Amino acid sequence: MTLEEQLQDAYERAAQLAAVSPGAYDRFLRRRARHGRRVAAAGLALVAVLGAAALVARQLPQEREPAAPAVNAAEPTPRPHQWVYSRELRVEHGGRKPFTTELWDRVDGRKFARPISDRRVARAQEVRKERMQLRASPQGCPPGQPLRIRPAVGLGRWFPDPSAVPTDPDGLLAAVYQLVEAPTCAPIPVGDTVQDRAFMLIDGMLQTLMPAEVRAALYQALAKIPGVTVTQGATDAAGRRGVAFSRAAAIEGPGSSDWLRLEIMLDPNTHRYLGARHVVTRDHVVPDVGGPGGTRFRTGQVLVSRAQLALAVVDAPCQRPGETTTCASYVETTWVTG
Amino acid sequence: MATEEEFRGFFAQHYERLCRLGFLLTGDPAQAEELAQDALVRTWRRWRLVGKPDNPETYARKVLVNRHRSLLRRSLVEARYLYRDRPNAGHSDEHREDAIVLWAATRRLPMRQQAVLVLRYYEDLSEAEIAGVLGIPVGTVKTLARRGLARLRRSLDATTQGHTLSSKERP
Repeated sequence: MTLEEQLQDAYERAAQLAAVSPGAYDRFLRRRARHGRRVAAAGLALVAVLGAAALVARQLPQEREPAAPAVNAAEPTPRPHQWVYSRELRVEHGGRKPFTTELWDRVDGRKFARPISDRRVARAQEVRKERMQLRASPQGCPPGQPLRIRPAVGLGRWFPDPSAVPTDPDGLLAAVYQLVEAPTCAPIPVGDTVQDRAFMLIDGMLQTLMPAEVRAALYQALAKIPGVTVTQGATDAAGRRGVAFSRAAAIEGPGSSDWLRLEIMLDPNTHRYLGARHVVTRDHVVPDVGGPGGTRFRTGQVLVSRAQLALAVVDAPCQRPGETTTCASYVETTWVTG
Repeated sequence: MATEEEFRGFFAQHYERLCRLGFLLTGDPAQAEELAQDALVRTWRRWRLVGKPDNPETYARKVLVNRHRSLLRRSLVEARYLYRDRPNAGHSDEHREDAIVLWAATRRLPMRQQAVLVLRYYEDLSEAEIAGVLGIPVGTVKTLARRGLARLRRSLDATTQGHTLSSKERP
């Protein structure tokens, strides 16, 4: 054995001596709460998950769709075991280069998949299967109500009875308000106010596959939320132009609507989700974890600019639209309840 | 799309590996976990604040290694104490014992050489990736790796000679 090989062997063996004590994640949560209270909570704000029923739009960003308000009957409804593929471009504050993320959600919501980019494991073809415990949303569930895996597409992602949800802008907005006030287990963003939560929820809804008439109604409902300003000619992270709907929003957890604004950019013709920006509206310091320092944010800084580059239905996890093969290595995670 | 669930999955997937990396650097399981927890809290903060890092695993690893370095700088005395107090290699497996001896030798190397070797031969990173993690030029990574290996080789030779001597001295 060369010294290099001996060293590899030595590290592997020595690493076995590292003991991992149980309850690590709980300790992490406590520690996070201690140090990062400001930024810890609002996970769901950006959840791009999807909801149910009569599913229509198979949207690819390359396709310039006409402003079709009605259900396209030729478009097949995705089957429960198909996958919703989404790709997002992100530009983040801090001088990092733009990057894209990919996610596959199974239509029935039971699984999701991500590619493995790790050089070490990507060399061999590998499908890693994991299980993940489904947890109650931050708002909690009514006593006795079991956790339920929700479909990944359409209104059923959030609404218990999607067929009862009106598809006119006022009726839909009223239903959204009702839901954020009494989520009954639905994965609703943690916002500072009802309007804030409704705004962020619609942001999530628009990032998913939705019937075209729902998408059109949401587009109009956004402008009806108090505090929302509408700007024409905004540009998303990919340079596409659209209409921006902006409002203070607690993107980084409770209280953060005080210094942050969410700008949702939509295509005015197709109502497709283009992207969003998270913008600092007030000078603000986020304290460092466990240290005396902090990170200073200045008014006007864009923390995140993102663009949804693709949203489409495919037949297999880690398969990209227009391709028949899947990527070599990916992690497939199955949600489990109870 | 930073979700609580997504991070929980990330945590489950990488916590142990980070603990192991921390252990190889510190030689102390408790301190290793401390480092891993700290790195993950910081990764979470960054994830929540500006979005998911390009490669969260790399990010967490980088935080861990750099955190270790700054902690060492801050309390070198304590670190030296930990160096002495490393777990005893009380294992029957002879290979393992050799491995532990070699690993212990790496931990007597200067901090940066040690980090380069761990990242190169345990984490299997390329020289460019190591340069990224440590924030130093690629050329420096190469130099540190070469020096680290040379020094290890010398110390191993010394150990072997020591063994030979002592067996000769035996009556």
